[in-house]
Amino acid sequence: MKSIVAKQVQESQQFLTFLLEEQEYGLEIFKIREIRGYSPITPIPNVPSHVRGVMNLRGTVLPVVDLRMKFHLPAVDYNRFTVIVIATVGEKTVGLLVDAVSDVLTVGLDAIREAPDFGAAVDTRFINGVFQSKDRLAVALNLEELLTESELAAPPLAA
Amino acid sequence: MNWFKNLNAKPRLMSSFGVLLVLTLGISYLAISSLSKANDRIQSLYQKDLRGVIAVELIDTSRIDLAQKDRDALIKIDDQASVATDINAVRADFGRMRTGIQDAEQSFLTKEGKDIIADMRENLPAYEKSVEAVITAIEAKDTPGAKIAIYALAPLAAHMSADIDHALKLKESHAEDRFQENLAAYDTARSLVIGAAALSLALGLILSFVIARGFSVPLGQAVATLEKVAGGDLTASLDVGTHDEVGRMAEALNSAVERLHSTMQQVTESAANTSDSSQQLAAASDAIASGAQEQAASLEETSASLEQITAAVRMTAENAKKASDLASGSHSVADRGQDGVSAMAAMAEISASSAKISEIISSVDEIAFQTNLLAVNAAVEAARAGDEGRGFAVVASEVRILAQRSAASAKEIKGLIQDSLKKVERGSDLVKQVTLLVSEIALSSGEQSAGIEQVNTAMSQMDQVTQSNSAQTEELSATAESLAEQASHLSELVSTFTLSHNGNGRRDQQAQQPHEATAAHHSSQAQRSSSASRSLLTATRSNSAARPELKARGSKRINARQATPAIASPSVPAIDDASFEEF
Repeated sequence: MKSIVAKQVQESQQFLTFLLEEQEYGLEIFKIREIRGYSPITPIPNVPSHVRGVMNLRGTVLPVVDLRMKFHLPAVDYNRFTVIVIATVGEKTVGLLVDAVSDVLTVGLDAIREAPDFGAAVDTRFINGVFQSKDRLAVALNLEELLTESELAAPPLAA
Repeated sequence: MNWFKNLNAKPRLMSSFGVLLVLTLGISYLAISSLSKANDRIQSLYQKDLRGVIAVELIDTSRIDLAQKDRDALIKIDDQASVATDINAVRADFGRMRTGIQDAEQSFLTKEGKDIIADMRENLPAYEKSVEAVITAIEAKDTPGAKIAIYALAPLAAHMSADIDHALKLKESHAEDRFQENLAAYDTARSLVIGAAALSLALGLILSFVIARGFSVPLGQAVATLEKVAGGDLTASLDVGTHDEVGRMAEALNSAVERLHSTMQQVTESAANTSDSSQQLAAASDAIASGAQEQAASLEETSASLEQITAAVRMTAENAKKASDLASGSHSVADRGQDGVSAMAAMAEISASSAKISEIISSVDEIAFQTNLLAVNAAVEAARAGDEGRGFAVVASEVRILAQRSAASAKEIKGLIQDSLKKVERGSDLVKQVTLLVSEIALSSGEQSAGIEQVNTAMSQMDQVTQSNSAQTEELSATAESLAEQASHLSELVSTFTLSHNGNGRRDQQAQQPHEATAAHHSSQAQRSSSASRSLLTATRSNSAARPELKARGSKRINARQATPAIASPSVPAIDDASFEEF
């Protein structure tokens, strides 16, 4: 457990880290609206496979994206400990299905390294960089790239 | 003489008889011809000589009579009657004289004879005339004239008388000649006939002797040989050497005896082979019987083991049942009074409590999770709020910490619960395993029982096979026995004959007897073994309740089994039956 003191350092950024298949990913905090537990998802026909459906958030209907599907990770059954991260990108609000949330981290800008080539796991367009989170590396995701209209379609498999 | 010996009987006999017949014919011919010659002589004697003599005698008597009558007439010159008679008589005499001369002419055929008779005939008329002169004188009663006439008659009469004598003498000498001839001929003929007869006799004797010998000797040899053969000596043979029927008979006899001899030899060989075969049969029967015995012994052992297995299975099933009862919670009398809580019930209670606790814990977990989420949300808001949110962020982080702690405690408790659940599970797993094992034991007991049943079936089949084996062995040994009997019988029969390889006949007879006994013996052994196995099988099947005597019985049986190999003595039946009485 890390105690977090949010230092307003101009050269740092705050990330919310979450887990996907034991791999930590980070999202900029300002893009995060809310974090919720599992809610029922209504499947919608004729959508790409990584879009699980839609959910009702206090009257608002938002699409739910299964990041596992998006990253071509094996699918798991979702239970009540599954977390949905509500994120906003511009005007779009999307729910992201993740395994669990870890922490809110403040990371210095100079601590963010360039992303190496992961190979097939993640298309490097989505990756802003990597940073140290506890004793592992977390991948900073580029939400915009993740959530473009055309990207709501299944991305081509990274080689 | 060999060619004669080689003639067949018929030609030989016929030729011999023929010779004798020819001789006889010859003698007959001789005799007949001599007789006929003699007959001729006698005929001639009679016809010529005697009749000639008679004829001349007639002339003579006539002459004498007429002379007499002349004198009478002279004397009785005065008696006319008697003179007449006498004169008639004289004329009759001349008649007779002429007849005589005629007859004599028939009988005097030689020149001399003929001459004499011719002389007589010539003389006769003059004689007659002078006699007539006498008669005339007498008739004229001229006695002196008569006397002169008579004196004139005298030379004529004398002439006639001389002729008559001559003729008689001629005939006499002829007759004597013929007589002498006859005598000589008789002598000759007699000698010839005697000689021929003697020759015939000798030849006949010789021939009969030879022929008789020619038949009797070979026949005698044949008889002797046949008697030898009848007596059993098949090595006898007959050497006659001739080629007549007897010789061929001898040859045929020889070949017959040879055939018989070789046949008997073959029979002897066959008998020997048969007795060998019967020995082999007996040995095979031995082997089978001993195999059956071994089989029966194995069956005994197997059934003893089966009994033990059955007992063990039974005990196992009982124990398994007991264990199952224990596990499932049904109490037996012995167990009541213990703590009364079965494992399954206790475990069920623990499981229920644990489940409840798990529920509670999971709800605590959920609360912690939600709290965490809220805290993260708060942190996010605080971060977005920047400076103003700093205190909020602190609060949020504290809340997070608390949430994490409670989550951690919940996790611990969960872990403990899971641990105890695991242990309970393990316990129930163990119980389940025990139950499973028990049911498996029960199953395998069932299978074992089924297996034992199958083994029983197999054993009864084996017993049947052993039985049929022993029956077959009996038959085999019976066959071997009868075979041996036949062979020995055969050998006996053949041994009465004398064959050229003597001594083999007796041997086989003696060798068969021990094997016959052994064969019969082993078959009875096999029978006993099979009856033993049968009784054992019945014991195994009827073993529904495992009795502790089983082990004792097993050992007793082992003792009996050890006793059975001592089946060399005839007291065996007693031992076997005594041991098997237990069943």
